Amino acid sequence: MIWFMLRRIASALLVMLAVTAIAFVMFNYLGDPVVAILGQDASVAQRRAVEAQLGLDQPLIVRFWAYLMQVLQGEFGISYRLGRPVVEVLIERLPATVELAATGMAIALVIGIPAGIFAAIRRGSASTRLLMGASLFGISVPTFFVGIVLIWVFNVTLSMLPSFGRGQTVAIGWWTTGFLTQSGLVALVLPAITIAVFQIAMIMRLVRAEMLEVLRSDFILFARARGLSEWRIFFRHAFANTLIPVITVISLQIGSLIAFAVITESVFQWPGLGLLFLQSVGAADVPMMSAYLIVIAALFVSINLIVDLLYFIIDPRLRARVAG
Amino acid sequence: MTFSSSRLKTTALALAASTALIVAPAAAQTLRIAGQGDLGTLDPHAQNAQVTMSVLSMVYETLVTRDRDLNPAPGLALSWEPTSDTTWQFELRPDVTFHDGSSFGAEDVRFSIERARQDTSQFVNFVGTIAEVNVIDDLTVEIVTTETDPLLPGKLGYVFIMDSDWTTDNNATVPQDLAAEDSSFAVMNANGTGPFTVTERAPDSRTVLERNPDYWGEMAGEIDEVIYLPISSAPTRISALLSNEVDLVVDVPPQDVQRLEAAEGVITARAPDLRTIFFGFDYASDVLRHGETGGTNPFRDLRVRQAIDHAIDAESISRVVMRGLSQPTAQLISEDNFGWDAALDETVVFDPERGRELMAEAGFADGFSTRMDCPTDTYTNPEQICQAVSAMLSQIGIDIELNLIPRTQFIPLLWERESSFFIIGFNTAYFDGMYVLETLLMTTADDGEGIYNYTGYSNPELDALAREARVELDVDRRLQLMQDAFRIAREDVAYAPLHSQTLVWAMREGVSAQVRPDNWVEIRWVEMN
Repeated sequence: MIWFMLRRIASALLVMLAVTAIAFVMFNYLGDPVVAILGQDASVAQRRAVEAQLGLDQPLIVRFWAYLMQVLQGEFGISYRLGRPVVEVLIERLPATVELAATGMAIALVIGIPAGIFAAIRRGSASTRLLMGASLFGISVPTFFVGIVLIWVFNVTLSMLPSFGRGQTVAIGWWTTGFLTQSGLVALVLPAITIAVFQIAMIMRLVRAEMLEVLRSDFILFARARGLSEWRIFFRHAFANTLIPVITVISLQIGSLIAFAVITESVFQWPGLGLLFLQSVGAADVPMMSAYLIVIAALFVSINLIVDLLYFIIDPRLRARVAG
Repeated sequence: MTFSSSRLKTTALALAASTALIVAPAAAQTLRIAGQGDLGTLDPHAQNAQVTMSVLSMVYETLVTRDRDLNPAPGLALSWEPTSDTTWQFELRPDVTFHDGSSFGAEDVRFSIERARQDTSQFVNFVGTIAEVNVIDDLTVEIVTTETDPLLPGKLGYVFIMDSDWTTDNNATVPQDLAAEDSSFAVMNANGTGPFTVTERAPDSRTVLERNPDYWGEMAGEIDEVIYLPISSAPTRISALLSNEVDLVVDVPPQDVQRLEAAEGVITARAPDLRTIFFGFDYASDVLRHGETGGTNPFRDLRVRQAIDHAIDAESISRVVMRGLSQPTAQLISEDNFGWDAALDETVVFDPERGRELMAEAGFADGFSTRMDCPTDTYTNPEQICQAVSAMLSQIGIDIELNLIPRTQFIPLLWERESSFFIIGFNTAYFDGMYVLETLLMTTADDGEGIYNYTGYSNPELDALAREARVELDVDRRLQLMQDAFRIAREDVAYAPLHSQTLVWAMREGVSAQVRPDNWVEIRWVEMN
């Protein structure tokens, strides 16, 4: 078990190194950070001075090595765009994204799982067909469009909900939360729904497909033969057996919710990591973009690790195999 | 009966009082301003960007400011005059204090100008002619320039004054020092003399300013609090105004202006932008770097440049792409600038037929192809403009390959003189066209002349006029010299001018704000009720 974990961690670190290297090289083709630092009207002398200060005059490989050494010491440098330490900014923005992603995912689970089970049990009924149609819509409509339509309806027309920002937040240590104030909760509604729409549809379709698969298998037939109640068959036997694929996909979706909240965050000016990344790209803020990517890679890698561990808990066969 | 009537009165009073309670937040007036981008920093010398300058102008002040007619007016300086060809003397305003209570004086002026001269400052151009700053007494400063500089007061309208002690004590003597980890104090904190103090700063989210009760100057309105809110998505920004979440929007997309004008409870205000948009050509290369030109550089031929000038239909672009929010022009500066010449604008002639003739005369009857570099994330609608102009140029046989790139890739192309053909927007600084003559049109030399002359254009006659004008203290004579110089640039078609942009702000009814051509929100002029 420990050996298994160590191997997973080693390969995870390798993945992160590769991500860092690729990102660093890629970002150097995004644009010249000196433009962001000095502006359009910079003289040659000024430019050379800043380039020398930041080491931009060095070859790419030298800069990457220097950056890697820095990162290993826990230093991510100073953001070119904001003039502040990258780590400080990342920590400041993390809570907004995590709260948005968590709320979005909670909404998606609460709606998506029951809807998926329902659609599997009541195959072919009119309401299922309606649900499936709606989910197709949810999967194919672009996020920014959902956001703008929601703003138009609930903000401009009905004047019910705010269209941007995070409302009033409360600081708990370094974490800022919007869960504890009314304006914070109200501000969360539209972005969370926007980010949840795709997830609801996806989870519903996934749960339905897995349920149908399981319901076709022999042990369900046996369960029926034993005369178990339908309710017990659906939930105790069928649903429990869909959990492994569903948990895998949902866990990875949490990762991508955080990583790709970019669009939702920019529509609602949600001050999280996605918006930060987008603004950093515009300013060719290399230290910020690199750090963001490392953080996101770390996130995915740790989610993967956790999922692996969850398998042990959920699936007794895996435990038996490792023990044996 | 009297009793009940007085009771009625009391009820009415109570009602009035309760209504007043509901409106109470309005009594403490808060102005919520939304714009496309956020200010990058609170450091007043780190970033010469419109939004940064605009918001910081509520917190920090300059020696010279502008009145409502945009003429120079006393700010932190009461008066100024040249005492010799190369010295200006500034009398400073007495009894002004910084937000932390320390008093403003000559040393702060000297310190701030020195700070703005550092390599990492984006305001080097504004203090470039200054040789030294001498403190005469606590309220008198003498500024010595390297050559006669009639524009110095105008330039100092963009150099914010910091408190020397506060800045030194907090290790912030270098603007935007990306090498030092602990230098970010002035990035997140501010201590100016302006009408507002910074009480909250959350980058990309909100910046909250509170009224400075000790402010020396006059305010048109009674605004107690200003909140600047960056909202990058245009539909969201406009929705926020329509739903009363913000009071003033400064970056209104052209396509929304008509709708906003029709919307209830919303008014708009406009002014010509100081920025002009034009096209530049590579003169320097013998063979054009990008494109198929048969081993020549067609842009060196005046007739080709004239042909391009004739082929661009600025009126159509104004109507279709800009929805009327641009003023077609034949000049490189817009009308609020010193040096602008109404007569020059009469030389715009859209005549593609004549363009084709000129191309044939120049030996390019079959045309040529080249690449146009076009930034997508700066100016208004650059992408659509470039596409429209490409189509127009194909009418005279020039085949354009569009290179649409972000600004951070585009600017380095100019810096390296890599571009063959490009669109560029240029802001004049300090409401004066001299900046354009000096940096964009003069022949590139080591001493800063022509430092943004990315085309390699050179005309000794223009250079001579510009040199004369920039040291001319007589206003009328200077105007004449500058207009002559601009006329030469026009005759040479040094650039192909397109239009000057129109700035539009939208605000809630009851807010009255005057649009400044440099897009600054001059908070002292804003009224609310």
